[in-house]
Amino acid sequence: MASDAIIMKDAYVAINGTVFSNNCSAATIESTFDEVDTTGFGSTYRQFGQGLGDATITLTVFNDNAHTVDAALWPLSQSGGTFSIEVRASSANVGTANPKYTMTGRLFAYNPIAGAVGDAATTDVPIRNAGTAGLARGTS
Amino acid sequence: MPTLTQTPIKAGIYGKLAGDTTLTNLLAAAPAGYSKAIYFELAPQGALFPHVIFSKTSGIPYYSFKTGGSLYDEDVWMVKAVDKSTASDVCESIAARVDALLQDASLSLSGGLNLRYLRRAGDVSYSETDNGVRYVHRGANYRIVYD
Repeated sequence: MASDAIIMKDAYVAINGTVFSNNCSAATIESTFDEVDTTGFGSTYRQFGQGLGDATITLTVFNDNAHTVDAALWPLSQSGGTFSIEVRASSANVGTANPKYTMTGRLFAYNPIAGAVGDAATTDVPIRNAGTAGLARGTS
Repeated sequence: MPTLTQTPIKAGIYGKLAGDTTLTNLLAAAPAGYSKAIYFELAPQGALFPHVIFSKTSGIPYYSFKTGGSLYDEDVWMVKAVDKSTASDVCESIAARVDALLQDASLSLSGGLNLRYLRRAGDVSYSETDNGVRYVHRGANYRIVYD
């Protein structure tokens, strides 16, 4: 049986509407919720409810020789301002087969230069949720 | 954007080496049909010694989410001097000159390619005999990163 796995090749990454796919080699979307213990007396098993959510989108980016990536991310990391981010597994149109994940993000950590001799300058950029809506999934 | 063709790097390396009279004066005369005793992959039949042989030993493309090709490529090219001799001195002098030309060099690359990194990544040093005749090989592998 042929595999139907998604092979990441041309994921779509945009920050504030500017596409950064060409400079990204990895994208990870993490969605988590607190586990709230609601176990009462007399229970045999612990019970858990879903608490507050959290989301982080981490990008692995190559900085380019024109420093366009750095020029975009540095002010975001320094200002503490929010920005929109959208990630899709493919650059194809958004749809049920290619949902988009969007979030209002804020950058708390950014390493503008990272790399050893002879390495490409790459850095992981962790973008934390900064909006009340959290991480959203859309198919249109 | 790098492609599978070797021509731009091959021509860039050849141009850098062949354009240096200090190096070419260390080499034997080239046979008919060749300008310099600097050969890609294989010396021609009857080639005199010493000469330089260079070839691509590996190439690794690195991708981003960009479509249409790699973001940059990382090659390893072997460049060595070969001499028919019981001594290695001549070969080592040629290898040293090659290294001076290539280490952190700029190469003129066709096809809109940009050289980002060119450094020696390891040495090539060995001898062999064929029908009792000794051949000396001295040179290096060079890591070349380009986009």
